[in-house]
Amino acid sequence: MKHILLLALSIITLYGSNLDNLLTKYNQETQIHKQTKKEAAGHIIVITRDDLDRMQAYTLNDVLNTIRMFNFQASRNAGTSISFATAKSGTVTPVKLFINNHELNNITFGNPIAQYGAMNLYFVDYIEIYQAGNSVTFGNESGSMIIRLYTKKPKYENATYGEFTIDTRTSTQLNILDAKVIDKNYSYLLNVDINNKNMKKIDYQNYNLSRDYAIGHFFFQFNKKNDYHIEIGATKGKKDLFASFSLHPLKDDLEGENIYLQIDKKLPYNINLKLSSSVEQNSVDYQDMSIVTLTNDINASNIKFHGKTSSLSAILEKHFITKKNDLMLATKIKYNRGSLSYFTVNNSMPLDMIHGPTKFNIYSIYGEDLYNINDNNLITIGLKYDYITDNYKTKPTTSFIYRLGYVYNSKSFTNKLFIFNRMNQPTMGQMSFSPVKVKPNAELGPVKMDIVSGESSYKLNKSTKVGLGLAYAHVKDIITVNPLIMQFVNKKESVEFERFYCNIKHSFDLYNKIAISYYKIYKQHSFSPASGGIIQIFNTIGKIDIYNELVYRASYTNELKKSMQAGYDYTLAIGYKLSRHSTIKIKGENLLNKASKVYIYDDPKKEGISVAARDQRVIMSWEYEF
Amino acid sequence: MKLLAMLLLYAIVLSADSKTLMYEIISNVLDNLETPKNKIIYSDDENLLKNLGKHYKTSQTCQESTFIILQKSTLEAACKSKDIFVLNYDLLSTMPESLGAFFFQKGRANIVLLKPKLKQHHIKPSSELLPYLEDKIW
Repeated sequence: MKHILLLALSIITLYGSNLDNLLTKYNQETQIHKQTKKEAAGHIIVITRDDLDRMQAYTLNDVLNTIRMFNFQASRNAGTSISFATAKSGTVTPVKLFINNHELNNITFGNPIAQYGAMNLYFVDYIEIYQAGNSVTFGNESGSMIIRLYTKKPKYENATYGEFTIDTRTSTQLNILDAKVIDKNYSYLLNVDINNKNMKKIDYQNYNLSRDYAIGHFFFQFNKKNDYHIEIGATKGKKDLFASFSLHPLKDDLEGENIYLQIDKKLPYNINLKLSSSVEQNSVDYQDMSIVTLTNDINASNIKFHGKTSSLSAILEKHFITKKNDLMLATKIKYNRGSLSYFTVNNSMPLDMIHGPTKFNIYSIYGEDLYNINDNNLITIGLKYDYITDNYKTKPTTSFIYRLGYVYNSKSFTNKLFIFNRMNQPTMGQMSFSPVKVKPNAELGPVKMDIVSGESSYKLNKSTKVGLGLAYAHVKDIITVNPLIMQFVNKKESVEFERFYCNIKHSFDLYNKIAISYYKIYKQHSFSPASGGIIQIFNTIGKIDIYNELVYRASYTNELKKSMQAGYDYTLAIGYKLSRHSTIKIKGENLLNKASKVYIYDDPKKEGISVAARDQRVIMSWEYEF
Repeated sequence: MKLLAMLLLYAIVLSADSKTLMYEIISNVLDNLETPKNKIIYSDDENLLKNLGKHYKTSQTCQESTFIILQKSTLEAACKSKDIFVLNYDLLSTMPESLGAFFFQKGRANIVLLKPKLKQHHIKPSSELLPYLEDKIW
């Protein structure tokens, strides 16, 4: 009798009202991130397709705004940037950004977010973010965070979609996506989008500081199942320079374009070949009401320049897999090149503005071993050696990084511990080309970090999960600006910091959930919000999706001792399915108009100009499946 | 022993891959549709048919079947009056005889059952299928 009761109970659990459960499980199983997520590669945040849809994340910046331990903020140069919590405004944080296997480079300034943050996410299926403990298997030079965008899989789309967006500042965006399986083995994904973004102008002494941009993006991917994968991406756009040079612009145009090609091929004997090539060009046409003093002390009222960077890389990797062990060995060659076609001021003869290396050859060997002690316990060791030559230094630069990790994973409990070092190389901008305010320094060395980080997560029950993360870091040779000589230098004193984060996620049912997280960085000197948090609530009522998000960033005191108020960036997004083929959406960003601000112009004696990364705006869109 | 077998079955379903889960979902939909005649299943998806054969009587031809599950649009005219369930949302429109679909849209699996078609075919859905009933193709 007992057995019958137990059997009945089990059948109820299995089949009673279980079509929903089966569908959920099926959707989870078919989500591609299950195949790419690497638990042992770091502390992971996965933003699923479903989350991106309901968040109405139109661009990468919409996602960056939500990331723990980083401040998404306005920047005088790029409009927006992302930097590590506590860092000074404008600090370059080496974030690495990938589309599938292709690393999006920003060779000059080392921060691809400034350039690609405005990229639309229409062709992206989900996003993986790896913080600390980043595995060497991604093949990149080390960074403080790795963001991987994975594109939609044609076999789960098999359709053509279009989306048109307009907002209260008359910005418009048009996206077209076509993804099909051609036959059993071949498939493609095509995405074209045009984005014309208008931002609030800053009126300063009757001069308009603008960070508007218009950008077009093309992406094409062709796949042969279990064989090769070819990807072409291109971006062309025009951007206003905001407060890059001064606060009195008469003309401030930046035109840029980049194109990349990525080929991944599976070779015999379980070897993967990844070839990548990218070219980027930027030209600036700037005219000032008064003068801008360049780093070579020339006073300029008119600046024109054209720069070009390119990158070529090849990676060969092989996995040796046994029942308990997965050993990956790889080698990589990467050539980075930069050049200035011209740099003219006041319409005179071109100037020589390059003061350091412009050609970098990076040769790397790396490997990672994952060993399963048993079903629940895994240990990992990763090693990477880089040998870097350039056309300026007589001696090559070398770097060696290691990572040791332990992962415990059971049905309800996950525990991770990583010990590793990191060496962040200076950028070409810091070493060779920095025309305004701060002089480059060709002798800069890498920033060296030693880090211990740990994370635990525990499933309280079927629908609730809590997590806690701790880390300690010791940083040497930080790259900073010496205010006496106004030049980039490696700081002699080392810096230490600790950080902590916690989060809780609760699913009320299949369609309704809440996620809350909080973090705090403990550091002696802090120049941007050291703590923050986020509340995200996802609801579905019939055909309506509702998303609420509140991003909090703490108050802080900047480098000029000015106090900045705490930020509260509230977003509300509502989507309504008109039919299976058509959805209308409305989204309000920074609705309270209280998002965290930074000074893009600061003066200890005067009132500066402070702005938030996101304007207050309402966005409406209509999506249709053809 | 029975208990062990039951737990084993439970574990298999919990760890099932996407194909197995898809078969489970379709099997579950069939379980919850009360048809006037005993179900004899035909499908142009051989693996699905083989799998459903573990729980249902199946047929290798559509003529001998009472319930048809289609992934492609080709079907003999003589079979079009039978109960037809499709594995592609577009087939619901292009094949007006079909009464429901299991399909992917924007990366998510969905189930739709059309109320008028079920009524026309004298099929009674169980309460578990109520969330998936719709009046028309929209």
